[in-house]
Amino acid sequence: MTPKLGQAAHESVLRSLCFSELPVHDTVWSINTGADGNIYMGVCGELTGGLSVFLVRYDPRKDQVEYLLEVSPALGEPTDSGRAPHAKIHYCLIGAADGKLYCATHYSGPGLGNPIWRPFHTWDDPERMAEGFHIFSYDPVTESLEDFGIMSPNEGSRAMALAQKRGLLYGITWPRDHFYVYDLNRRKYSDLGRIGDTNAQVVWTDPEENGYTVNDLGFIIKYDADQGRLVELKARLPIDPEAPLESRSVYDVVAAPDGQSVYGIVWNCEHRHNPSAERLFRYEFKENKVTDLGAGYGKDKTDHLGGLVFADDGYLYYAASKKCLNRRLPYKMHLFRMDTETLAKEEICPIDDGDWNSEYIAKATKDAYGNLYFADTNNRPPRVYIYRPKGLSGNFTSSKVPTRNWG
Amino acid sequence: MINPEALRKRKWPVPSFPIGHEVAQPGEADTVAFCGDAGEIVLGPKEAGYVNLPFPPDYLESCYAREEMFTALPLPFPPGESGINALAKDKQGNVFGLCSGVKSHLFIYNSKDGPEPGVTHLGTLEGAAQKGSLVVTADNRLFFGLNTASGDGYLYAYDSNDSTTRLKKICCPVKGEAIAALIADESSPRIYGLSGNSGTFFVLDLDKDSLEWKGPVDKDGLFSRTLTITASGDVFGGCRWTKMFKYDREKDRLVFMDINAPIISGRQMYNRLESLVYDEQTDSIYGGTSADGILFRFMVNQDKLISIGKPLNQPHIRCLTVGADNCIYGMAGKHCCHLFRYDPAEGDLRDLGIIHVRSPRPWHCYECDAAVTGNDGRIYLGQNERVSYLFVYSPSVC
Repeated sequence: MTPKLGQAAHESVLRSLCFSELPVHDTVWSINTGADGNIYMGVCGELTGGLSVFLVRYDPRKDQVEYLLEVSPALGEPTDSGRAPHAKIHYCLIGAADGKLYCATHYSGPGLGNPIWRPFHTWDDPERMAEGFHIFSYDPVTESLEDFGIMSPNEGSRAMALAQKRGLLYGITWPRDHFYVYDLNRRKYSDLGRIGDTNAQVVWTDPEENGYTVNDLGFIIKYDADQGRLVELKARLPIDPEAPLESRSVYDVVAAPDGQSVYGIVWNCEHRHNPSAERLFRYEFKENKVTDLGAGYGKDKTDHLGGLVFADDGYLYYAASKKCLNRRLPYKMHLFRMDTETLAKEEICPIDDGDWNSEYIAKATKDAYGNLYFADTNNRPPRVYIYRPKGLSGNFTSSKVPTRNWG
Repeated sequence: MINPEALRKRKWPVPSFPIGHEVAQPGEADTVAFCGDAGEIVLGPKEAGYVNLPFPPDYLESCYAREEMFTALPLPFPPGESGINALAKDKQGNVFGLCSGVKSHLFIYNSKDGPEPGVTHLGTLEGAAQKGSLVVTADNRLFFGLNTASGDGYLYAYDSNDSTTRLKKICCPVKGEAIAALIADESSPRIYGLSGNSGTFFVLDLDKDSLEWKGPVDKDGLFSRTLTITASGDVFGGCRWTKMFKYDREKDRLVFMDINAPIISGRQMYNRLESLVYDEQTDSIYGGTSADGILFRFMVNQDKLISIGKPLNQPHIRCLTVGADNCIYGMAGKHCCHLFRYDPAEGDLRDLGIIHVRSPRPWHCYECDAAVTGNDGRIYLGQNERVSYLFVYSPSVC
């Protein structure tokens, strides 16, 4: 018998949450743990015209899914307007200490009745364009939304981080790849200019709440919050030696338990353009030092890695792809873990709930039981895979509610 | 909170292609091919009921200008200092550029000398500037002026023979004001310009070492920050909104003309002349407006202006140049610029698309504010963003 999530586990468990009430939505790009211990997700619809992202909550204590908000209409952009709807919350869903969620919306889903949409083709077309991403907060207790408005016309927000003590949000726009800062206290959006071409997929922070991301040549860029300016650092992410292009950026970053460094995934900036195995790295803030931790799986030239999360057993878990050409995206995702002391990597299992082997994992998070959640994409209805490492106690410990202040 | 039952009852849009577990495997019976949104072909069950929504097969690439016609040249300046806002060509065909931002940098692109063609840094000026003007005089000297945020804007000369101070401060044409625009006479060593605040038209005679002021072109500062000069040496610009003025060289005075650039009705006060270029072949000035992005032609000898049209459904005609093929090339748009071409012989105004290259790195040119045609017919386009490249466009490839 498969134990429930709240029960002690002598063996590992993998199951999924399937969002069957959203039958034509297709991707879960954002997932994070709220201060209340619940898991919050942006369930997105980018491959069918006229879909809005839904903000969804999963309560691991009750094993219950709740649909909180249909985001696009709530922000004043109906899904049948003909314009690109707010189809996604990409890596821009963050739980704050006060329990609120801070989110930025994102695009790529077509308007209703259209099979495809891209921003360049509808720029300044008031009937089809994207109005521009909103930043908003949502209070899950009062179920109230506070919309801070449109930030950059035509653009979405690809990734975002919260500097809570400073009251700032740091993010990156798509498609123009501008770094932005939103001041929550002054309600002021500042565009700090272009940093590259292909977006990084994450913005993260250090203990002083400076912002970090990576340009499309792999160089780490720091937002110096005291000086209010971007600094191009000399630290550069590694790349697969066989990569045909120098292009690289960052796909995911997770804080190390020591708080002074992060572990991350080097992104090949789209495997179709730069087929190369994605890699793991460590970045130490004070030393401004990048360490190459090698390929995550490394057997295929187009390896995708995603879903970095530290489990209570101390291992760094992640999802890595194995090639499967008979799919829309040529991937089947498998769960791996790495011992960050010895750097030994170990394959755990396919990310398969018995119904479907995940095709592409984006990000991951953890609950206070120690269960790991992997956001899946490219399937209808969309789903999230939950993995419980072997040997967990089964106790929900509120002091262990993990916080990740970036998407 | 949304009632899940309401979601279950809702009529959802129908997908147009299969994903995930809907994708059929090769060899399966009763399958049909679908086109996904990245142009990929996927198999799905024939009877699954996907809605047929055709789209052009080249949709994703169709917004771009032909990549093989462009070369992107990196600039040796840090982010925030590499935005090109002026380009000029000397008599030998060397192309010079001016970047502004936190600092300003002068560079040369020489395709002939050295083992590899590329950009060479000529000098740096400290201090922030928003825009610059760059001119080559009749005696082949290079001058430039900066539109600084405040204070005196100086005219500088580049002196390649002085190894210590190549960038020499010449003068501040109008005290307390920046330099909004410059143009050089191609037949005599004179430079004309407009000051940044009052729009005072000035004439600098390099032989006589004299500076004269001809007065403001608009008393309220509603002038255009661009100038051009004809073969006869008359200088043209914009005074109030879209109204044109002329500096009549022979009479040595400003003439405020009763000629306006075209607008979308009612929008005159939002517009300025944003770009001007003189075409010697036809003795015409081509220009573009700012807020409405309308291209026009002014036939100098006839004092007649005609509207050509809008190359894009966006504002701004940001820069113009006359190509070796006698076509007019320019960049239009805001935050998503397109290259366009006007062929006067055919009367054909054509959008050529967004500039995008994959080498030396995948890169879009979203903002472009400077254009010049080289002696070899190649067109140089100056990107003006925090991180920028010099683009070289070769129309002859097409």
